[in-house]
Amino acid sequence: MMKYFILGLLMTSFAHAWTLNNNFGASFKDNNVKVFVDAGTTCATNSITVSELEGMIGPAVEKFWNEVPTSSLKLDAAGYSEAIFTMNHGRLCSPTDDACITAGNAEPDPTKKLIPAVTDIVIGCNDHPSNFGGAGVLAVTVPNKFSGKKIAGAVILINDTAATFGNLSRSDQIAVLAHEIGHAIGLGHSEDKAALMYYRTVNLRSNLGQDDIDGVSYLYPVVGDLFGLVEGGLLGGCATITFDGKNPPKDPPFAQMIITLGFLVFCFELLRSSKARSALRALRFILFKKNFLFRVK
Amino acid sequence: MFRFLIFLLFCSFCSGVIAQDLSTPRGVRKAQALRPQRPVPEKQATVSQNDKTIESWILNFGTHTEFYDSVQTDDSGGKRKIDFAPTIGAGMHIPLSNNNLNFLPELNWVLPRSAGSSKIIKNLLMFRADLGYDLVDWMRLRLGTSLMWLNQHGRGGKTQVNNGSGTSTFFYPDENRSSINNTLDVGVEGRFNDEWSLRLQSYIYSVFIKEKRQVSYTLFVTYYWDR
Repeated sequence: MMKYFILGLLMTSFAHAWTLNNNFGASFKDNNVKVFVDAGTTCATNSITVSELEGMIGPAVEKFWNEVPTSSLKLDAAGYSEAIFTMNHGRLCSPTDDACITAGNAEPDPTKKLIPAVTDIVIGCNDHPSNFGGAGVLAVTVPNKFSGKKIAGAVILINDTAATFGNLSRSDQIAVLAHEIGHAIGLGHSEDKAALMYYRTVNLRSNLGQDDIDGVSYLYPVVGDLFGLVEGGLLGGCATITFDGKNPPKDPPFAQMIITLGFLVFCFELLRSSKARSALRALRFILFKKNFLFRVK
Repeated sequence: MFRFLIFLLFCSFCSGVIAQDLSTPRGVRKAQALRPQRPVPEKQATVSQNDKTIESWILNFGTHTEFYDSVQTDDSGGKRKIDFAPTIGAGMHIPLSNNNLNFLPELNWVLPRSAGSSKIIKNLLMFRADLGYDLVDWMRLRLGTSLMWLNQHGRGGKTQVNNGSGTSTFFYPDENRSSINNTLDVGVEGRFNDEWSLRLQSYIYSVFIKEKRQVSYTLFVTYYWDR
């Protein structure tokens, strides 16, 4: 009976897993990331005004990504960015997608040329059909500016070739934006329907799923937050360290944690032994009673 | 991590000073000279006679629920109230001078959980200490703090996941990263007898940041092993 109980304990496993949208674990260099709406964007097909769009950013970041205490990420709905000329009709390419970049630069219509690299996260509506796989795709996100292996900026485009996004309820639109922001900060899709990073909308989206929480905690870890007094952690987390193409610093392995614990227990045992207590009394005597080091008046 | 380093440095300093002081005849003489001059408090004498600083060792078995009512569990907006995440731990019961007060340090480990064909392995270690107050014989209230060490180990690799208009390649993490949080903990423990008790232990994350504040909890069955 006992062996089955122990086996059950050790075999707990999740069926799904969170993923990354790149193969080098890229995240924003700074834990405080601003989310803008392009000031010149128009969502004519979806019948959404730019101010309505801007009003959804706050709930999208506050209700979802800013709620995770094990993550140091702090997204800020920062209002409007400067208008990008090609935002509404231009082509969005990954910096490593040479074919896409060539095609974008070759567009005869200047408004359909390449959307330039941005800083932080910029959201706009776009009706270039090559950016979307079809009318069912609600939006796409491409981190299009990197600094070493860190994301420096990402563009989120709402599909304005069809009115699919505009036909959603406001809460679903907010969830879609939050999902795209998840891509912008480095996460990929999850196969878990409960996760915000699941590839499609669900009946009701109320919170992040466990996959989302684990993913954002991995990309933006907290290192000692002193009950929340120190935002981002005392050491700032791995996410604030630039490694410019080299391998990023690794956390101490699990064995090291156990060794540290063992050392703490050893120190505790040492300090509570009778000899150590005598020694501490002697130390206190030396330090305070004889004006040896500290003069106590 | 920083607090750990400071604590380790402090421990090293203490042990170094103790060793150095005891190794010199002058230090030993001082320690001996000190003893008769100081009246020994009654409690210290008791501890010395019985050598029972630690009254009992504690073994914990339980299930941990992370972020109560804040994690979506299905596609209809359901939120997690209780989770099955097996947790084991060990600690000490150290009575303090006041008979009703106890110091209860412990280490708990939420057993490893794997995801994505074991591509990601997640561990949660809780380095924690409570001040316990025995309200009545069978009930103890606990107030304490934890250092929550959430470790995720990625083994790398890639997978094909639906993207709405086909499938795309996404990647598993390939590093070992940890989040370390300080929590404020409140617990209540009901004792069945001298050996067994049932405990509800809660951990409040980000006490001072309203939007990030979350509560996790563990249901423990605790065994007291008297020395």
